[in-house]
Amino acid sequence: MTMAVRNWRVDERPDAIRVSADVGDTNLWFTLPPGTRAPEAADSFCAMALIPAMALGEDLDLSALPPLTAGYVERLEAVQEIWACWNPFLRHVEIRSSAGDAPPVAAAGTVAFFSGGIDAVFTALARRPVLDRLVLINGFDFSMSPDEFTAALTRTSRLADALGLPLATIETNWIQFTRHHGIARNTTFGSCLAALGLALASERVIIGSSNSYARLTPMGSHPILDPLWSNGATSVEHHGSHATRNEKLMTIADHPELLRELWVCHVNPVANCGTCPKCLRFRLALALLGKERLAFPGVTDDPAVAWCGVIRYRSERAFLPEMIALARARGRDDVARRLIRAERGVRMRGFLRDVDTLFLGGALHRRTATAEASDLYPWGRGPLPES
Amino acid sequence: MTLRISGGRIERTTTGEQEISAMVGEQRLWFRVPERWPVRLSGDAFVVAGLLPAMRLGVPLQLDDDLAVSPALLDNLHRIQSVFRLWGPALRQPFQVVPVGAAVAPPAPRAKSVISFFSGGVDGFHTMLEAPEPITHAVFSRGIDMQLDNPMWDEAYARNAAWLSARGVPLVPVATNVRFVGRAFGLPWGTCFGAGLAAISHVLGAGTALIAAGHTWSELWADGSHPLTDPMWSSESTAIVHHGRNAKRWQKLERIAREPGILDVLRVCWQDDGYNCGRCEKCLRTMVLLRLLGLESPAFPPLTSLQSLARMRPSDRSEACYVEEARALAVARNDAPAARALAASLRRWQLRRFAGEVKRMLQGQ
Repeated sequence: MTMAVRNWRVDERPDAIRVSADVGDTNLWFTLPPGTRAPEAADSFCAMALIPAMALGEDLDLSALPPLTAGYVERLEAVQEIWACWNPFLRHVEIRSSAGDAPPVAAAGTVAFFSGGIDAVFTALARRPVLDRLVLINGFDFSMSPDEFTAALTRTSRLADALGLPLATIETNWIQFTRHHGIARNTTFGSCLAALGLALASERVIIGSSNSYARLTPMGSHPILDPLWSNGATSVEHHGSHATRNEKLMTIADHPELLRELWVCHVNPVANCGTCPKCLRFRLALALLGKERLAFPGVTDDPAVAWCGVIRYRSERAFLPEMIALARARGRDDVARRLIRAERGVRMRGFLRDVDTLFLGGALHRRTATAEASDLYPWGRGPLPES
Repeated sequence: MTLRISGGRIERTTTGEQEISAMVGEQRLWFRVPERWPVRLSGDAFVVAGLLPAMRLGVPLQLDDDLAVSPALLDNLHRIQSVFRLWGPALRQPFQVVPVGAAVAPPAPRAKSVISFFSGGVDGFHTMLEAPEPITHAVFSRGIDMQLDNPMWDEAYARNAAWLSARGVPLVPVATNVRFVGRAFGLPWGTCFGAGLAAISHVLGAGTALIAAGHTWSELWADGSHPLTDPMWSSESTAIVHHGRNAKRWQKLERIAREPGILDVLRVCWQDDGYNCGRCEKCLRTMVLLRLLGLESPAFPPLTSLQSLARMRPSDRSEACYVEEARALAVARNDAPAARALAASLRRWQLRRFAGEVKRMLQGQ
């Protein structure tokens, strides 16, 4: 079986360049900011389609598209090697491209993707001296309506202005594309960013890290994986794993004009809802830094109590050690004690699970198997409650 | 307080080797290489070997001016410190970022040699066969791959050298106490072996140095040798490459078994008790893989009883991971007795972990 990519189209419009192709049975498209050189290589579609092809176990046929840059298929061997190892559902596939090599074209300059979240703002702050522009994507974290995107753009522009950097935009139907193939965002988001970076054809593209070196897990964006999407003209770089999330926030907290506009929410693409697990963690960290009123002026409930209510989510409780350390460092022993109690609760649940596995033959686990059946997406579709 | 690296020198030993050494604090760190191997005094090897001890002590690392360091390596040390700082809790080491003071050497050109660390084990043979570029020299390290006083050294060296020689690859013997210097600073070899092997690479002035991976891409826990950190020990002239994460241990064994002669000389044992003692955890899990793959090796005693497998006590998750891989293979190959024995061994590991967690909970940690 083959996943064929056909009907490549590049429409140069006054407001954007729209690039599209049919990937298998679905159309994939993205826009590029005006002034960007129209892509002459199929590298971005290759990067975007590779993991879906691996998931289907179908060879990727790009022969109806312009050629790839020289050596790109060989470069992606390492990507395939890693993913085939990380996820048994992904299989190594052949990549066929049209004859010849596309010229390795990239304009001088460095861009960074910019959602306005902690990772993005930290990277933009740290790499500001080398950055030429920031890029906001609609269709990456959320597929936003025009009104929502306008609101998100307004907020993100304020951040970019505060950083003194121009902000460009990209729109794509990538979310629908990956959902169509049933692949979780956590598996593919690095390839999407890398692909769009290649399409932007800047010399360097920077992806802000999602995790610190202390919490590296197999994930779509990873310090080992991201640079492997580079194509010889554009270098894809992963930045920020050297700092924990709270360390990043502490850096940003020195800039109230940035802190005020930070967006971390999983639920609302325009503003922080204040109640989702990510917002609650953000609120707690801000409260410990004495800055909560800046980003959440209206809220009154205790963020420590609220966040402890969501650490049943695996993605949240991973932050317990650094939250406890921050509470201690800020002299908030009351918060530290509460978090330690919550951590003990988590450990006790793990302890009981071990007792069940080791001494009861998994009898309790089998009784709750129905509830656990929802946890079928090891590559993450958002936080899942711990069984 | 400072951890000072001083007194760098090159001397000839009574046995004709060249010894490159320096003091790392109160510890004398030395490397012995063959007499004709071209060496020069540089700080690269010593800064690599001294960085993690300094981070553990939380004190600046200062090299004497005659031990100048490559600018690329100096730059990389910032990155490697940022990784190990955050890995400290997982490695149970209080690593702190420390300043490194050293004279900056002029950038040296990249050498042409491609070396691979090779003790005659599964990973080393696999990398020897699957390296992305031809290996010009294999390096057998006394003091690392075998204890300095292991009487089996001569036999192991001769067997490895003979196999390599037939393929046109010379085997370079290197002796060093880098493993013991790390230990003197409270660093287990598992935490600093990437740095130790990188230090040898710099002493040898290799263009490329391949470090064979022990695990796959799926096992990316904090470790002394890692695909993220190994390349960070590189300089302009020496690239450190982590190789072989694409295959599980049994897949490597299956691959190397296809080459004539490898199973005759394969040596995995660290017990200094015969060529392969046949009783240690490494020997046993290799022997069961041979059984599951339908292979025979005269280098190992026959696996006569599965009881010894069931009694294996994996001491960490790395060993437990190997046992789990073997168990999965046993299930896939319908070898129920072996699968049961390996499951029993895994249960020992799970109980051990459980006991540790109970102890920590009782201690209020």
